[in-house]
This record gives sequence, structure tokens and C-alpha cells, in this order.
Amino acid sequence: MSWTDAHVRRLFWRAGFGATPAEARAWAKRGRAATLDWVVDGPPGGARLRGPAPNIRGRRLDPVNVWGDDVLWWIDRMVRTTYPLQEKLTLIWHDHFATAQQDTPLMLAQNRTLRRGALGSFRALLGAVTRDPAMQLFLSLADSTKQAPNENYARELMELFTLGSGYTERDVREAARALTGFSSRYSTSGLVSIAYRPDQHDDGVKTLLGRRGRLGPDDVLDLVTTHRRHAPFLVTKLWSYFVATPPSAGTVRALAATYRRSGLQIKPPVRAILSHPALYANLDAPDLVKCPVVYVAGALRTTGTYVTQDYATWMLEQMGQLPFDPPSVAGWDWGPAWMSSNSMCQRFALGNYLVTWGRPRVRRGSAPATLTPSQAFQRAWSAVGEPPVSGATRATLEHLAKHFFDDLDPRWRDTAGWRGEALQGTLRHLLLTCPDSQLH
Amino acid sequence: MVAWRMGSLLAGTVLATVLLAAVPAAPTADARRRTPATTVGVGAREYRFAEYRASVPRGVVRFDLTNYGEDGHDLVVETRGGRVLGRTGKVGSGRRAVLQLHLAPGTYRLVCDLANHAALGMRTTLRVTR
Amino acid sequence: MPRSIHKGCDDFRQTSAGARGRWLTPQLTRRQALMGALGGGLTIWAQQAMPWARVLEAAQAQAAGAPAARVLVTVFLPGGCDLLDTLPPLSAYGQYADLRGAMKLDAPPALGATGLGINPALTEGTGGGVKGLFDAGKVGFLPGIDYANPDLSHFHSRHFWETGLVTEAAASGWLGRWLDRHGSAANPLQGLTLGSTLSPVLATSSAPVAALESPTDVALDVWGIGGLQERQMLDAWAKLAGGHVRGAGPQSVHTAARLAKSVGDQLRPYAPRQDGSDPLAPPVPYPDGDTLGQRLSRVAALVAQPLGVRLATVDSDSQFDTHDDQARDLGDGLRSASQSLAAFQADLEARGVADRVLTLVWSEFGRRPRGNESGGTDHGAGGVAWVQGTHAASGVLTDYPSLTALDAEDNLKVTVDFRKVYASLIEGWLGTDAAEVIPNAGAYGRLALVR
Repeated sequence: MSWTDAHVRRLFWRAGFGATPAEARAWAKRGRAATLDWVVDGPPGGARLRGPAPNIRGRRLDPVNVWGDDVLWWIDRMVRTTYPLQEKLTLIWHDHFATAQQDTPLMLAQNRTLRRGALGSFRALLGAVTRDPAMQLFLSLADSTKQAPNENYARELMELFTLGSGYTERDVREAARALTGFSSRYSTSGLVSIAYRPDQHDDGVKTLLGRRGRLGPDDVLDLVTTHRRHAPFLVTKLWSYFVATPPSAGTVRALAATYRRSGLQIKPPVRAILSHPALYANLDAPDLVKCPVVYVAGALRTTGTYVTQDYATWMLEQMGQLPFDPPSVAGWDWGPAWMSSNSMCQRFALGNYLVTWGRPRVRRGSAPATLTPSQAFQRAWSAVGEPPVSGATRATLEHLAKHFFDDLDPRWRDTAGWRGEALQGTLRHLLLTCPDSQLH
Repeated sequence: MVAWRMGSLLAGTVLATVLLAAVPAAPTADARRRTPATTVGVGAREYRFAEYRASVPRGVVRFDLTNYGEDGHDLVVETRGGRVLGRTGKVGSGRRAVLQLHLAPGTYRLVCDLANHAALGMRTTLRVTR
Repeated sequence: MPRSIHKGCDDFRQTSAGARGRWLTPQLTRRQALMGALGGGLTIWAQQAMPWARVLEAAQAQAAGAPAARVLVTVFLPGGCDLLDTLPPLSAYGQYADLRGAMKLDAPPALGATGLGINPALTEGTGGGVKGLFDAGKVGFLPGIDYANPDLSHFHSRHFWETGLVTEAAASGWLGRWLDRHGSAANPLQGLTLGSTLSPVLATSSAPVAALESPTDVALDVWGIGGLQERQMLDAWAKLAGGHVRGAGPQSVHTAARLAKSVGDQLRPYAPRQDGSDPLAPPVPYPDGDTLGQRLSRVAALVAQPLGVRLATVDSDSQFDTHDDQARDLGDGLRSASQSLAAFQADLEARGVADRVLTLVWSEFGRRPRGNESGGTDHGAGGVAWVQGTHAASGVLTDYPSLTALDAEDNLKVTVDFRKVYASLIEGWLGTDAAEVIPNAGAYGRLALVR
């Protein structure tokens, strides 16, 4: 496979939140292997946040207490991290282990848990998520006792988190029994702790997925992750976040084998997906719809715009993806489901904010009206981070530039800088929001 | 700038801004203007409050209340002696409200005074430090 | 076995969070797999590649092809509206007073010769509010409406009413299914929610629908330029969204981009003008600052335009889940409903479209006959709904539940299944076969809800 700017852009968008022009050129030169290693393993020493910390009208973020700041805090991480794949996987796990309606401190703690385990052992991540307070409260695992076992977590664990199919209602009931014992403690200020109490656990014999014994919570997690349906289920789900077309049966088998061979480590199948030719198909015609978070964070990151305003929170909500608030434990619907006339209006509206206040804003005096259409396009394209757009898009925008001064008397053209600036704003807005930019 | 717009779960915000001197020896008006607000996030559900910080510095305190429950709730801030300083008013399921107060150092009570909610557990305290 | 006093909403907490979540209001882009008898694969409407020039034509064609097409509006009173205090049974007032104690309505106005009274809040508004409409023969009440063995969780019940199915499975809305079969493939204005997110009642598998608070919501918003330059920009946008692309993702993007422009174009004539005047301004007064009223006024205005609107849903902003202080909260909610619905009817008549519009007012369950210790009532069965319009059958159309012969849970017995009402509306008003939308529609019988 050759390795060009276009390959780097595709990889950076799918594995993260896009590439700046400088990144695209630099990593094209360093070659495929080096780029993949850097993307998948991250920088030596771990992730850092590069650039100025978020500042909203002079105030620092307070993600715990101020509504909406939690979202801005996370978007900021996506914009400034030196390890984008880690943030992308955190978002993916947030969708996969979807939790909602829980107090912000608990959701932020879950977010940290997901980030810590994002690219390590799936079994370890599953254990951490099972014990996570926000998850336990959401799916009623906390205070599911031997007298009254609650089946919610057991059901979603198998249906949504690990298997998809291949289990029975009896398995759900038995798993629910085996998962009993977690008990919550509250003060008047809120949750103090959730702890496992053996005296609340049903220690009888259970039969689950063919195994019989005095099974406890960790036994349940061991059984679901060693079940033969788990590996193909999980790798297929992971694939769907990175590639628009479903994997062939052969690809699923290969990825599942990689996953199993590694001891159920997340990184190897992810690396395999990010190296797969399918990810690089049709470089000039991207086919995966950007989810709202990737669209917004990616637009900020690739234009060099930092989080200095709070519009991202309500805009993401209007687009249908408010972080920390998935619509159900099944997470969001991805792909074409993101698209509707309402959500597209919101995505279009983001352009206004970036072009008025973000890094791509047009500086006074920077765009004479005498630029040729091609020059005007080029300048706008550079200002918004050189997004990959088709020839047809370019032609349409140059046509717009050509006719943007039609109603002006030609004698005033030289002094019509204000109109030239308006054209720049328009071109930048369209480049950021056009259909080409909704796909990656 | 632009007002926040809330979506399906968190639809509608009630803004109740009540600027009161809580107890005697309040700071001068100038000092009050210069003090930035400290926000305390509060989650309400049946039948408890979760406050996202146990203490705040004196000055303008903003309560960001989210009702995660299915019933309506309100948030009432009182002195330790029971004098009501401010309230959000009844906030419906899934909705939010903001209450802003000027508080001097001391301990304050936060309760939901609907029906028997306080007796069922919707009561907590907040410490305001120097 | 009597339930504990003021149990609050404990039932809800026992529900699977996963299941609860699946039933919460979906956003416009969300569709969940349709399973069971109504079968079929699921496609997101935006995925279909629609030639953009045809979209506007389709809306106008739909409107032009059936200019007198009937419109069904549904108004949801969230929380479970109490039947006994909405229509207090005057002919059984002693029992009513005994059940409700201090919170009872003292001298409710009589509802004609029906033996029922009406909550005074429902007399407020133009022409005597909802009671005025009843006296004019434009309201048909449906007391005792619910379904057998009702589930008393808001989320479950609301889901059943929205989908027309008593099932825990995710599904499209009952009116969404009607649009899938009888709607246009290209006009999102055929099914409108006046609100920020689409009502699950209108969730479809394939037909386009839209949610909006105001016509400007759905227009592409451009800052900083106007006039010719703005038009040039939006024309460029339309070109960028045109052309033929392959793949579900790209097709969905292009379709959404085209629709974003075309729906905006369709509604631009109706957006507030530069001089501040409002082309959709109602010809009659609506209650001040009342969101329900504002939304209904938009419905009336949009129905009166050639936009092909067939179905509209509106939610009341009030809370009818009156576990405490029912006298005040129910009164507030019913007052808003009465003033808004009376204005709405007057508006439709002033615009000359009232003959085409029928409104169903509904809630997700009733409440217990005996009051609790907090001046309120807990979740129960046998609620209240009504149809409203110049062609609505008028009077009390169903049997009022007995206050003495209660069910095993000491709740009112259900006298009419809501699916009977749905089937009757589909056949009697929309004029199509109910079995296409409500499984087993034949089993429910029919009510004459239309004159």
C-alpha cells in the first residue's frame, strides 16, 4: 500500500479527530508503519494535553458542578490530546457501556475508568465497568441482593456488552444470582460507596452458559468473555465504529483470532482494523458519517480552535449526541442514523461559530476582492485546515467565488475588501460544513 | 452570547436568581460584585439529594440543580435555624434549575419541601467557609 | 390488598433501566428495530436518495392533491391526568367526596345533563374553554380509558400509548406507522411535532417527519451576509448536496443536506419577517406566555398553509403527575389546556380549516380514586381523554367507571381500551384500515368518534 497525505488523513479521522495539514505531511513522509505505531501506541510517556487550557469568558471549567462543563472538558481533551485514539476509544466504550441519568461526579469517574482501560485487557475493563458506581446504579446492580436479584445488569451484560446472542433467559436469571452482593451506602450528601458484601450474595449453585458451581461476579465475567460468541461479537462491534461496510466472515474470523490470541487485549484487533485495506478504500469518497462529537471536536482540532466558548454542549445535544447522556443502555444509533434535516441544520450552524470566533475567522483586510476564484478558494481552504474535498465541491465553491461580486459595479471592485472578506467567511463556512466534511 | 437550549431529557430551565444577604455582616456591594460565583452541582432523585461538593467559599453561590427523578422536586436553601433564603421552585422530572444566593460563612440546610420528601431523605447540609 | 399510601413512583425504579431508556423520547434521528407482527426491515428515512428538486414538488403535490385532506392533532398531558377531578361524578358525589376528602372539588360546574361535573379550570378560556366547546357540541369525552391490567410506570404506559402496542419491544409510533403506509416519501412536514424533539407517536420506519418549535428552526442559518450573497451561498449548498453518491452514509448526508435546505425554503415564507411581523400570527388571542398555546397556534397556522401537514403532535408543558397538591397542580394544567385548546379551536375556525381538523387529548394513565396523605393521588387506572373538533362526536362517549366496583388493586375499572379509540380514529377520521396500524384491530370494536 502506498502512503500519502490522503492515507494519513483517513487514518487520523477514523482513529481520532482529524489531521492538521502539518500532521498529514509529516506522517506521510514517515511511512505507514511508523504512523500506525504512533497512532495506536500513542506518544512515549503517555497522553498529554497540548495547548492552552479551556477558558470560557475568563472562567476555568468546573466539569463536576457546572452543567455542560463536563462535555466541554471532554471535547477539550479530544482537541488537545497527543493520543487521540485513546479519546476515541473512550468515546466508543462510553457508547458500548452506555450509562445515563447519573450524577456528574460518578459519570466523570466512569469516564476515567473507561480511559484507563480503553486499550488494555477487555476482561479488566469489563470488571472495572461492572464495579463502576454509575453503571451499578443505572442498571440496578447495586443492591441486587440474594433475596431479590435484579436481572437488568445480567441481561445487558450478555445482550449488549459481550455476546449479543447464544444465551437463554435461564442464563440471565442465573447470572443475576451470581452477580448479587453489591451494596450501596449513602450519606445525606449522596453516594458514599458501593461494596461487595458476601452476606448479600447468593452463594448457591448456579448453572450458567454450561458451567455449574457457586459462581460469583468474576466467574460470570470470565464465562461471558470466554464464550465462543464473545470474540466475533466484540470485534464486529469495534469494526463498525471504524469502517462503514460490515466485515466479511473471513475478516471477523481473523480479527477474532487476533483478539483471542492476545488474551482478549483490545489493542491488537484495533491495530488490525486500522491497518486493514477496507479502512483506506475510496480515499477520495469517504463513506463513514462523522458522529456529532467527532464532527465538532474534529472541526475544532483541525482548524486549531481551542475551547473558549460553551456552544459545543447544546449544539451536540441538538445534533443528537450529548456525551454523558446516551438515550439508553444500548447507546446511540451510529452511521446514517445521525442524519436528518434537523441535525444537518445544527451541523451547518457550527460553521457560523467557527468562522466568526474560531481560528478560521476572517481578519480585517486579509482578503481583497481582487483575488481570483481559485486564489479565494485556496486561501479559504488553507484557513480551515485543508479538509479533503472533492473536485466537484471545489468547482462549486470557485463558481460561487466567481459570481460573488456580480452585483457590484466593477469600478468599486478594488476597494471592496469587505465583500472579499464576506466571501472568505462564506467559503470557509461551506468547506467546514459541506457534505464532504460530514463524512470521513 | 447564546442561551443554552435543552433537549429531550433535560428540557427547560427555571432560572431563579435571588440575591440576598444571608446573615448580618455581609460584604460591601463592591466586594459582592467582584466575587465570582462558585457553583455547587446538585442531583435530585427519589428520595435523596447528591451534592457535588460539601463546602464552598463565602460569596455568591450558584446551585445547579438537575432532577434525575421521576417526580417533581424543589431545592430550598435555609439557614441552620430554618429561615428560608431561596428556592428553585418545583422542578419537573428531567429538568434543571439554577438558584443563586449570596452566602456568608456558616452551615446551611438544603431540603426538598414538597410532600414528605425531606422526611424520606431529601435533606442535606452545605458548609460555607471563610 | 391496598397499596401503601403515597408510594410515589416506586414502580419506575424497578423497571429495567435499559428498557426504560429504550422507551424514552427518541430524537429525530433515532429509530429502533421494529419487531413482531408488523415486521419489516428498518431504514432511516434520510438514507433514501431523493432527487432534491422533487422534494418541494412532493410537498406541494401532496398538499395540492388532497387540499381538503383531514388532519389529526394529538395533545399529550404528561403524568397521568386524574379522571375524578377532571370530570367529577355529580351523580355519585357522596362517594367522590368520601374518596377525596379535603381535596375534593366543592361545587364543580355541571356538564349538561350528563350527571358529571367538570373541573372549573376547564371553563377558562375563549367561549368558556373546553366546557364551552362541549356545550357547543365540539367535545366528546372518553372517561375510563386505559388498557387492561395497566402498568403504572410512566415510561411503560407512555410507550404503550405512543406505539399503540402493549409490548416492551421498541417500535415505531402508531401515527408513524400510518405515515409509513399512507404518507408521502418526500415531505417531512406531513408529520410534525411542535417541540424540540420528535414525539415517539410519530416515529416512522421510512416516512420523513420533522420536529420544530418555529419555522425558523428548520432553516439553514447564515450569519453576516444577506440578500443576494446569502442566496448564492445557499444555492451553492444545494449544489454541494446534489449529485449522485453511493453508499448509505453519503446518501444520508446528501439527503439530509437537501432536505435541510428545502424544508427551510418551504417554511421561509412563514418565518417572522424583517419588520418583525409574523406571517403565522394567529387571528385570535392565545393565553399569554403559554407554551402549549404557542405550539397549538403554530399547528393551526401550518395546517392552513399548502404544506401537506397531515398529523401534528404537541405536548403540554404542565405536569399532571399530581402526587401532591393536586388541587393546585391539576388546576394549573387544566387551565392551560382549556385556554390553549379553546383558542386553538377558535383559530382553526377563523382560518376556515376547522372542518379538516380533529384533536385527540390524551394522558398515559389515570389515578387512584382514593386520595393520599399529601393532597394528591397516586398512579391508577381508568383515565380521561377527549376528542375535539367541529366534526367530533360530542357528549360523554364511554362509560364512566364505577366508584364502588373497583378492581383488585382498588383502582377504577377500565371501560375503554385506548386501542379502540385509535382504531376508531384511523377508520372514522383518516379513512383507512386500522389493522394496518393496530395489530388485532378487529378485536377492539369501534366507537363513533366522528360526526
